[in-house]
Amino acid sequence: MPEKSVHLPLRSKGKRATFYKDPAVDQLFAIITMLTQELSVAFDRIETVERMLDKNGVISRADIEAYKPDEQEETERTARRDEYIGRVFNILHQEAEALLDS
Amino acid sequence: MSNIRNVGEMVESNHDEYSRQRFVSILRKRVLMDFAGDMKTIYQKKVEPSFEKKNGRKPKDGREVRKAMLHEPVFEGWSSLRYNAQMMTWWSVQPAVERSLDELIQTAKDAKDANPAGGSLELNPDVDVPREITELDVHLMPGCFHTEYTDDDVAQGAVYHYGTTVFSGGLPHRRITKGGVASSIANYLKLAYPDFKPERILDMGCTAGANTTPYKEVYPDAEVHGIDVGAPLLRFGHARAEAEGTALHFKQANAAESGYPDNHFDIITSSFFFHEVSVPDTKKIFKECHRMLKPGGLMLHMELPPADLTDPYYNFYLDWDAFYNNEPHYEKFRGLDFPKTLAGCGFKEDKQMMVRIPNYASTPPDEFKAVATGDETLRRDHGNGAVWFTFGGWK
Repeated sequence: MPEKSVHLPLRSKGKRATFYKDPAVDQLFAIITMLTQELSVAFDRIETVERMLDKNGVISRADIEAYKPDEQEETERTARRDEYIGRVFNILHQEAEALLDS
Repeated sequence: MSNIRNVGEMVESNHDEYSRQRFVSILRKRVLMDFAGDMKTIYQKKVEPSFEKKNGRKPKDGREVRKAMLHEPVFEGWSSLRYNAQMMTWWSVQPAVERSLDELIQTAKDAKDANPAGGSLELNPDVDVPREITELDVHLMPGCFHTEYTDDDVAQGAVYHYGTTVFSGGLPHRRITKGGVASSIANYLKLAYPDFKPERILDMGCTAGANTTPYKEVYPDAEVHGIDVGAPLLRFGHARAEAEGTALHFKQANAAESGYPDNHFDIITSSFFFHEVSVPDTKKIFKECHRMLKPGGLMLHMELPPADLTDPYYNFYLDWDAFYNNEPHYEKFRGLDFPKTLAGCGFKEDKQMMVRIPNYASTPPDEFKAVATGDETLRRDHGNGAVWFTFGGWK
């Protein structure tokens, strides 16, 4: 891989927002959201491997890196990610559901 | 078409980067549609009734709603998720941009030298970049609009271009095309004012030109200009337009002192621009627009609707960005008395225009035409993104 000439910063200028009394909760929230993303990426990678095995029987890492889901498959993956986020962060939905039920 | 590669399509993400981008897009959809709906339910069913019981009335403005919502678990959780998704948007494209950067820069330089489509790029390193941009990374985008990390840099243009695709990639009405605001305004004007034939158009705060391009498509005979303070965005936007065969004229300039002559433009427009600008500068820019417009010319900007046209809950919801997305002027801008402010800057009240324009790409053509040629301008609000609020006036 070629050497990158520029490294773009990850931190944005300005005060970091906090939403909880204890900023540690905000930090944990950031970590959990990032972890959720990485697990979704791992799901995608497994799905790619499975689909390629179904189709080809044999795969290489290069095949996986170059793999582009077609539209139908992307729609299925998007539905899976959407439902997954709904499940992981269901706590945000529960209170509204209870209020609507009562 | 030219033989210059399109910088807007050159950046290749690998498997996992692409997967991260898709995750962020759908996470934002969850936040802005599903969980936002939950938050509103909790407000309506619990927070507002309890406020009313205590105060004998409903909250009178967005600030009061905000105060009542601030420590609701749903607001804390929803905000955290939205805030993180905002940063993850930019992070999800940065590594692929870094890998392609040398190639992007070279391509943009080639485009500047050759101008195969007939556009141009004029940079001014001495441009006055406002403090709110140098001190705060607007939209939490690290490096903001203007930072340059190397000579002839286009990195921030690329991060913005690819990032905004991720940003709106999960929202049904935005998926179809970039430049949705401008294609809606331009097509609206063409239908609503068929005899209006603009010769010169200016887009202010044009960023990477996504919302500049449609004016040239809808009015191919017009000369279309875009200004912004951010050089990396302009270089990127210019290179993309040249590769796509669209002649656009980009100039690095501050909209408050852009240096164009009097009576110069037929249309002056912008999209999502003024809420990033301080109120004193906003007034200066309106006056500049009036000065630069030809008599009979039109100023029409797309923005978030002013607070007095939307309800307190919606104001609380929209003003979230002012508090957490490094957009400090957002709330003050929306709080302006628009007719009075415009009148104070030269646009007489009887010549002012305020219209909600449906999103062109996602509205059935008959319906779009009916709105453009009829009186029906208040169809839906901005919340579902299917309609753009615009304001301005004729000179």
